[in-house]
Amino acid sequence: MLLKAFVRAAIGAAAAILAANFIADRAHRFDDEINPVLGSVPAAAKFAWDHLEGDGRGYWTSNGVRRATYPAPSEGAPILLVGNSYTEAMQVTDEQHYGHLLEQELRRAGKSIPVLPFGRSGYSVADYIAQAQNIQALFHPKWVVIQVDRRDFEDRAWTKMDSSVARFTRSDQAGDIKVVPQSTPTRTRNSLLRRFSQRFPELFPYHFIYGRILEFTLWVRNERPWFHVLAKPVSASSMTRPDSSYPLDREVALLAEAYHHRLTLLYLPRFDPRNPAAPAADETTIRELAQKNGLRFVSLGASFAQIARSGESPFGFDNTEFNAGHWNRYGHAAAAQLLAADLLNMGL
Amino acid sequence: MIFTSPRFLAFLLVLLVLMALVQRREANKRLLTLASCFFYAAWDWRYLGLLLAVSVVDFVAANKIVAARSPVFKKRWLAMSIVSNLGVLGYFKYNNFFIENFNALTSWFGFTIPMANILLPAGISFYTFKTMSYTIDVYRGELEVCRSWLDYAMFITFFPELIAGPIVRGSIFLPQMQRRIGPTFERLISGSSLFLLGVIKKLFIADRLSGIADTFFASPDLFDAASTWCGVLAYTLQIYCDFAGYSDMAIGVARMIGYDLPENFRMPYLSGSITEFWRRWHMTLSSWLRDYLYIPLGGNRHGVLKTYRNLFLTMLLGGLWHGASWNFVFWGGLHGCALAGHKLWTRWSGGKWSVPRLPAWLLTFTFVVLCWVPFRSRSFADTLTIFRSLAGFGPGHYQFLPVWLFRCLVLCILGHLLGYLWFERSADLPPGRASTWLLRSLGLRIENNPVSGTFVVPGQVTVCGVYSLVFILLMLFFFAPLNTSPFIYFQF
Repeated sequence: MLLKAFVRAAIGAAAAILAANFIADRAHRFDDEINPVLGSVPAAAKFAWDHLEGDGRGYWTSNGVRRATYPAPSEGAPILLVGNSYTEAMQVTDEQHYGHLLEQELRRAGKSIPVLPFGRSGYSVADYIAQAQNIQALFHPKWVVIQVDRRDFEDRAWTKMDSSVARFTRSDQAGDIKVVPQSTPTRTRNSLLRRFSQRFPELFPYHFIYGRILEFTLWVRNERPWFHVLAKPVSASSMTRPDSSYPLDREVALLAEAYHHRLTLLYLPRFDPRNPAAPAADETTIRELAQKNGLRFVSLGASFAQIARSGESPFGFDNTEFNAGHWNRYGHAAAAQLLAADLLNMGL
Repeated sequence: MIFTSPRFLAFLLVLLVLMALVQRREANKRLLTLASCFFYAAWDWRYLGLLLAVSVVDFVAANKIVAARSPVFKKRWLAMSIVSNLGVLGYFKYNNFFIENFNALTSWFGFTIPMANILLPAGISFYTFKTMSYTIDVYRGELEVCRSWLDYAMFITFFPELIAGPIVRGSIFLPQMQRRIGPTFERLISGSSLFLLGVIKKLFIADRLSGIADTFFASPDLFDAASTWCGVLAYTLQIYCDFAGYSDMAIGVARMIGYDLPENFRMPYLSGSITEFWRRWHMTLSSWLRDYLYIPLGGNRHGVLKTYRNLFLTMLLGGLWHGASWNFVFWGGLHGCALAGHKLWTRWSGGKWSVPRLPAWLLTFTFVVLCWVPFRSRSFADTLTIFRSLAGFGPGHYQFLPVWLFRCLVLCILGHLLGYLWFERSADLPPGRASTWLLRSLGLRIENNPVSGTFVVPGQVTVCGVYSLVFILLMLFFFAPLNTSPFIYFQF
């Protein structure tokens, strides 16, 4: 009797695990690998998809480039789009990605230039500077576009994050800054489970499960303490650095130097649905610093009024929240148009 | 320490182990009272003293009521208990509301009172109603007085329902203390399955929808009519799944540790009239309001007009109970009017013209949905903006049709369908072949509990049953949002 019950339970549990893993794999799949030059990048020659935020599916050729094929040298030097999860853009399809749309816009204008989107989730300005040499040596770009928002200059660029390769730190008493590399894994853990997952991703979505375990760990760690009114208040020094203390001018200058001033900053300001046309204060600051350092500056904010007129927001998805999270296909389309206009305007 | 937090699960696990180890009834009660105090203190230890003080006052008052020979003294002790409870509630919950309204009136004369810096004690509305009902029941002679302060303290501080109900009466809870207390295997299984049902409601539905509802209610002037309807519908489902989920978890936890709590929700959105809705929604509050407010006001004993007045007043105060804001009073007033209107219709039609079930349900559901607008809105101006948007005359033009709303709607409809087939239909008819087969294949059986209503309890182990359980747990692991929002009714 007991054995019968045990067998039934084992069959039921095994079937449930398989079914749930299959569903999880359909909802989200992303594999990464260690590139000898760039570190951790999306796995080459693989599709990845995300139906939890947005409804995206993409293909990465190699070297972390999201593109159906790697351009042949005869196609000429490419335009390189560098960014973080906004450029990685798991939430949209390849056809909706601003890299693909930019290439189409340029082709429509008679310029056949390949566009290579290289986005890595978690990157910030410090990572872009640290990777500048590698990126330029590997891709030989004709021009580089870096996608940034205010937070990429602030806390993200100054704190140690798992997914980034470098961060800023103060180099001397005078307050100058430098980029310090962070230890990154040199090879992926080739555990039995991972190998099994690589062979049968539908049966065991390793990355998804691993990611959820990390989220649960964070959830447990961030839980409100026992008897919370007794808990010590957070001291000012341990809090995030106030905005005004970030040396934005030095950060932009270092970025410009790293890319020899051949750079366009694609800036993503927050979208204010009530007042979409008004530029935010942070946008003005970064624009001025970019101009001071001889960089080109394109703000997605320039298209906000048009997007708002159609009753949409450039951020958020119908399976998440309105105007929150990553940018959607409206944002990507607008970015492609703005970038194409700017690149053509500079006579590329 | 909310029920869906890892810390609570650890707390519950330790408590269950300790309860299983401690066999003596008195020691078990002590343990449970201590655990309840610990649970409350984990919220905010500063108000644990208030909770215990309230329980002492009512314990003494009830004993004095029984001991007093003269009815005048009995009445005085009862009045003392009611005044102290309402005083505590008034001071901590409504102080600033009164000051705000007083200031609004007197500011013309240049006279204002500064607002008080008071933190609302968790669960105050629930435990003051619980203690009040106890002394009133003792005064009425409907309940035997509790002679042991330990028993009484345990009744008041009982942690599963301390923060957000169900509002348990002494007549239901106190007799349970006399039987053998402690977790049994069957109770553990049936309690944890009910707890799991609550977790599904809370994490899968309520928490998924909370962000959507928050977006709409934070900026009601942004969205077009279809999107605003989505927002209001999202809140309609969220508040039900949040509160019913909490109630399920509370009843499940209580069941695990050996106690039965009363049913609090019985698929209220299936109601065919507003009267039926209040028999199914927050049942412990509506029965409390009926027994301790509506009937003492006169109920339906003094003519038609007074019946309507009593209904309206009861709901108005019921609205105010939810929170110190005119929005809640307005919400209560709307429901009061609807209840009076339904009574009037029933009386006028004399039962001859009954509206068919489907249009009656649609009318009731739409009314309930619209009433959630003032309940959730931040201000009366927002309420008006949302009503304008719902009618298609709003100022907003942004579109946001959230996919999760439709997914959750499907889940809710399926859940209600199963609930209807298993519980409602089987109350009048023998269970159908399909539902019997489904239950058997899942290894479940239905059990009736005099306090908590109908339960689904696991029977024998089946492949289908284990599959469903493991599948649900894995779906929770994979897809449940981890930014859990606090239960809505905690603020009341």
